[in-house]
Amino acid sequence: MGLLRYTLLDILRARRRTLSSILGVLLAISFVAGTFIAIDSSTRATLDALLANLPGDFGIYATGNTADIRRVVTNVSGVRELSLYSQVPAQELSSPAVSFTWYASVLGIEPDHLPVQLKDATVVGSLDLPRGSIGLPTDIASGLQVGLGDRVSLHYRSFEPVNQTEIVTSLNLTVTALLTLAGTGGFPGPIIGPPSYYGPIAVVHIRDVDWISEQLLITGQTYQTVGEVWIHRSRFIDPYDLESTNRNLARFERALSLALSPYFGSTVNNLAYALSNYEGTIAAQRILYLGLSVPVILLGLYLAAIGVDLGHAERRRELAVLKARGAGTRQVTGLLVLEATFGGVLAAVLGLVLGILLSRFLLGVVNPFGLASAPRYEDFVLSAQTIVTVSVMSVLLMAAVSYRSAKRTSALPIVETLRYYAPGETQIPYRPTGDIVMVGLAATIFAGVLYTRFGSPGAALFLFGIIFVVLLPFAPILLVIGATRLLTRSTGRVYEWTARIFRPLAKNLYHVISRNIARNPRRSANVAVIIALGLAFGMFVFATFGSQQSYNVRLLRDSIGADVAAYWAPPANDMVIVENLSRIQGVAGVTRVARVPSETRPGGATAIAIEPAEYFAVTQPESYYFEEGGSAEAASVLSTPGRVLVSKGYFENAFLALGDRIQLTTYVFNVTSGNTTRIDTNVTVAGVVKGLPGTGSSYQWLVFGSFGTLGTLLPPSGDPFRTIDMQFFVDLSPGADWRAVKDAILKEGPISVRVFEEERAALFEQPSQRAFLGFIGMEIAFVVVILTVGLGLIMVAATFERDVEFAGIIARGSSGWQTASLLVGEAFSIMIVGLLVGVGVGLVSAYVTLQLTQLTPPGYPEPVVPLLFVLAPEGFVLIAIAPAAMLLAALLVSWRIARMNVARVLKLRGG
Amino acid sequence: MPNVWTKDLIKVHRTGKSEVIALRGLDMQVADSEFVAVRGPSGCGKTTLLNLVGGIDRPTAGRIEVDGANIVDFAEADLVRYRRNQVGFVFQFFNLVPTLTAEENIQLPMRLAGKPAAEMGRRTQELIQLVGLEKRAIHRPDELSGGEQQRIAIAVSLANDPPLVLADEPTGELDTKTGAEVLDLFRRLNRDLHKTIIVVTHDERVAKIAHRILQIEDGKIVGELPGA
Repeated sequence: MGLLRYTLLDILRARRRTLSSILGVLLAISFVAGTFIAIDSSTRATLDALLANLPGDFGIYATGNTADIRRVVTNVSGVRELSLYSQVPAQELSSPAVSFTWYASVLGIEPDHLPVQLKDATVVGSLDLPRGSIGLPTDIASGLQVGLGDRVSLHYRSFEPVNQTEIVTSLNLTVTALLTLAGTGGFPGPIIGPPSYYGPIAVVHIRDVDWISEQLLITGQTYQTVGEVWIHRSRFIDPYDLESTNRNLARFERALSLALSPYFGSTVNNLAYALSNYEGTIAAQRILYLGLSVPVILLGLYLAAIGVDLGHAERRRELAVLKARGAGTRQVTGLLVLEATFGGVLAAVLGLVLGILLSRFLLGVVNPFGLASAPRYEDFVLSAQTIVTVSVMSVLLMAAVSYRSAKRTSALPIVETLRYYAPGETQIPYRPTGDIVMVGLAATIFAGVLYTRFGSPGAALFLFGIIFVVLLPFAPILLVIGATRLLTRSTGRVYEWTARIFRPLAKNLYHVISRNIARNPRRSANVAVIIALGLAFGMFVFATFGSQQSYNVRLLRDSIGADVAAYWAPPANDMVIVENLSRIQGVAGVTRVARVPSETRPGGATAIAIEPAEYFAVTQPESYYFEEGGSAEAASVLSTPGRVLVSKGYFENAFLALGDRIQLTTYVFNVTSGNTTRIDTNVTVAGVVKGLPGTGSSYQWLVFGSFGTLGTLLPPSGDPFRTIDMQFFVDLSPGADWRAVKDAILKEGPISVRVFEEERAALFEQPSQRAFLGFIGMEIAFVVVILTVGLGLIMVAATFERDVEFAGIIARGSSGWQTASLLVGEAFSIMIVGLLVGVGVGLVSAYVTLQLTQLTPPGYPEPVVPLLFVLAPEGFVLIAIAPAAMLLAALLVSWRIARMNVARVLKLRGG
Repeated sequence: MPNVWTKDLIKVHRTGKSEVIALRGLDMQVADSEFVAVRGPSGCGKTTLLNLVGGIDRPTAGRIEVDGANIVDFAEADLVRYRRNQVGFVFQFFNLVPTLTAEENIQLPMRLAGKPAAEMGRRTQELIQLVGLEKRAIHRPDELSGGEQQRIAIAVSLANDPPLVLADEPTGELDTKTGAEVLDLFRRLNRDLHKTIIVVTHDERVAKIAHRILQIEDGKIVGELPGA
């Protein structure tokens, strides 16, 4: 306890040394604190995102007059909005234009209070819905071949048990609205309550539900009125006080139930369910982002180890004197650890302050859920949980980091330490065993993963390989630390080589650089490890990100098939569609792709009909689709009648060979005669492809033929009794505006239109991906901060230890800048080692990890689209920026040396 | 009162593959309250002798008795107590804690010994007055001159009132006038406080205040001169 005061005084008065000791932990803690504060401050926004897309805050079911139900519900205090709807017990729709029926849920809605699924629908016509009118979804209208003003019939089928006959009643309705529903965005999880409708939705006015039932002679069936209730959320929900929130909601639900009791009503609390996941969501966010922060924490720890070691080294004489005056070794150890602990408290306080600032930048990237256009963030929220977590982490990290150095420093012999250089410091025994084990382990893990990926192991070995997969995240860390330490501590030659690179600048002093670095191999190794860890992390992220992004884009392209893919509800006149699409401005080419309804022998394959020349011109497949040759060869094969290409999966698993015959069979039912006719077509396997764009993955067994070869299996264009699954691929002209083309295509009435450029942009807008990539980007920026600011300050601290040495060199004839070049050269040499190890390990780790995504169980075919190794451009920027920033820091530090007052430094005499 | 006695004292420094024999069987005796100066050429073993007697290094062989106890046989904990309570060391380069004020530096050994605050305060004032630096008590070492630093260092060495004071070139970094002041302080410590003092020095003026001057060469005492 007597030394407590000494401890505190030392921390508060030796501010530079304290700062360099706690800097690493401070930076790591700041990042963690900033992340947690950002999560807390975006709690309201997170809650908004979780509660978005709910089908009402509350759902209600009631039986009775709609107007009365509306009145009693809206009278409940807190109700902001109510949407009621009721389902008509008839679903069958037909039109004079087609001979078959379509099915849809017919909902009676309140046009002024639309249910959530219809709120963002695009409406052509009017939703006033006068009596006798109906609103149809565009796909059903297209199928029924009706438009605005046309008539459709709504049918109700009932069974008359006495006569055992089916009774069909019909009601003619006029189409007054065409609806295209917007994507709902999905609900955050399973929900209880409305909507209780499925499939396509047709709409009538809710007041006409009973009238329609009367017209259709529907008796004895009464569907409940369903409602979506929206409340004034700000009155009931406080994301920072869930207990009050749940109480408020329970009381509201009770009032609602009471109001509905005369109508046999029941309620569903959608908010409660979403909120029950909320606390877990926030906790999961903290854990997830804490895990993602591990690279920064690791770097901070290494930086802290250097800073603490420097602080102890600076004081070794003072500590030796302390021991000479009667302090025991344990007292000195305890003193140093206690100082580190207080330093941890200081780092926690400063870290929380810095974290508040940092949280402003992290706000937009800590929320993996979809956010509103104007997310509601608090100024900042510092929760007790954050304070406790950050404080405990900071103290424990500082104590852990300082313990070994404290033990080592306090055990130094007194008399040796009182000399200028303590031999024990420069001759620290190095045992490479641990580092060799780390490198070996990392290499084994990488090899295990690669063997599992490429070595075609059996099922048992494949399962064993999962062990390496689990260990994979540790491999890069083991490799960086082990390899860097082996390179920098087992031999001094590495520094000699790297110092030679700096020779043009250091000139005659270059050989001093490697000697200087070798004087404190442990510290040099730690600096190199920090650089290597930072760069490895950055390279890993950018290589993985770049490769995965590129892969996702190519997957998307494969999925769509071309610049645009459109689909019409059958039966569609495909030649007319092709002609119409070709006339659209901005369209360079159009082609048809049809799935041919047929059986194959050998069995199990799907036949795809394409127009060879047009298809390859529009889709422009990459070379990886082909086993041999390319588009020209494939088009040539398909242009020859009777010759087909097969997918690799089908070719290998059906044990086919080139030249084999495949029989395709289809059956045509004649409605008039009631007979079924069998049609066979024999084709020859003339080539193999891995797959073709827009036709499905390689897991499918596919046979590709031209329309000429497979034409006999296809129904005539527009045949209403035989439908084929046909897509239309569109190639855009260079510079064409895809939005204008899409609008023009939509006017032709397709069921769906997919645009590659549109979906590619949406790929990067997924909330979870945006948040994850944003956070990782911030983390990498912070890593660069650690590398520059952190290492720069450590270098400053290190120079104080060597002031007399540098002054001596200057006194012996070196210029200030020449001497400063020693520092820069040392930094450069260490940086080169860290750069090579970090970039190398980062890229290797990324490559091995990416192979995991291509891992398929034994016997499964390879995916068509390969995962190519791509380094995002930001990776090259990092390779340039990180070392440049470090060298800049070294230069700034060297400026102090260059301007040193030699006389003052060397003056040791009193007066 | 201590009686410092060494017999066949040998110290071999081993650094890497090289060996340096600093002391080659040195015999020395210092009586109670005696002021002894130790002189010799550079590398003769003067500082090594002081380090061994001060308990901050261990001999390779031989015996060191201080007040009848052979400190060579001391366990580490005993040596700690010895350094804390029996010996006060004054270094050539002062070796004050740079972040503590003068009086805080003086208090430090008392804190290590677990002395109560009141006693620490009283003793600190006593020592500050002894070395004549009342007005500089709250200044840190970088605000003190070399002489002032050395005087504070002497006060530090006396904090726990050790009977034995060891000084290694106490005037080595000081100018003539300041050195004389420091030597005078040592003289007063010996005369007034009856401290046994062993000073390693090149300073000729020590001969005027020391009772005896021991001459060391090649790790052995080769001569003895009378002092003041």
